[in-house]
Amino acid sequence: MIEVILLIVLPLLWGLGVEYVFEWFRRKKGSVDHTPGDA
Amino acid sequence: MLNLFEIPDCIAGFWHITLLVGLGLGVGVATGLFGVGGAFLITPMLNILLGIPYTLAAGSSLSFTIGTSVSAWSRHMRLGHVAPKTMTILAGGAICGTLLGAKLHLFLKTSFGEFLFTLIMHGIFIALLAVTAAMIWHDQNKKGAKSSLLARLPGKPRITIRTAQLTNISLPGLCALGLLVGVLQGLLGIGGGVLLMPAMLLVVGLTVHQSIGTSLGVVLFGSIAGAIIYGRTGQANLWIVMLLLAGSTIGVQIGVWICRRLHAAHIKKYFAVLVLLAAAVIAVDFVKKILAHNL
Repeated sequence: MIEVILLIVLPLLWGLGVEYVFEWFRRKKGSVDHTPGDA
Repeated sequence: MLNLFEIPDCIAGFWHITLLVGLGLGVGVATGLFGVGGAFLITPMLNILLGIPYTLAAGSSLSFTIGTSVSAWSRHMRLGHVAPKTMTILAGGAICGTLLGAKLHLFLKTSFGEFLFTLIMHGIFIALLAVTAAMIWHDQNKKGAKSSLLARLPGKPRITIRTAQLTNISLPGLCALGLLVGVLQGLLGIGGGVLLMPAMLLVVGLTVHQSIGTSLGVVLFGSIAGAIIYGRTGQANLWIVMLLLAGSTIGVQIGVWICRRLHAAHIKKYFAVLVLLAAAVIAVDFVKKILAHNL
């Protein structure tokens, strides 16, 4: 059972961690998320 | 049954590990460049390049998809690109579909044996990639067309999607779409975003950004359900998942960098070419396997 939980939790933590790190870099650089309008 | 932490024989060597990280990197570039999860490339390529059986490849690929989709989904959530009601309904259908798809996967494997099963999976992937390429091409040539097919479908109850300003949407139709994507997730070990994204755009009628954000959420929940099913039977491996994720993290950044330097109109054409190329690689392996079996 613990293996199955790790199979879900590890990729989740990896994905969220990567997003957090890049968001931190984006904020440090002062860039803002830009959402262009849908054509 | 393989332990999740055990290093499988097929990735025991240095070159195998390099190939696995390289595959993750290549798929990551495609993710950053085209905005797709890339599991539709991972599952067949794990089988063709590394000789990993389809069942282990599908389970590992679903777990890998959790890592890639959660990252992009959380970002789209912050940007307000997710239609929560649509996502919840589709995710419900996708979770049920994943259970059915995984059962179908195991049924086909036990009924036909490993060799025939590999050929069947190759055939399904070739058909899926050909349909995907056709959908991308169709979508490209039909600029500005935005209509909801689900609003024209019969069947009650009907719902309203306020975030997308869509009314009279067929609830059974929406559930069926989620179920279909889930079956493909469970059967093939793919995220399903490559089909779901254009379907959201053309069938449901969401905007481009809502389609991307919402489909990522559906892919995430369907993949979690799939990873649990395959993981419980030992048909997923953490080493494969983490090596692929390591490669894809770098690849995504390279893909985004390339994407900023490419003309937007050309990106879809390149994506269609990539999908057809992947179909051709699988077709060649399909023929090679048949010839090797006859000799």
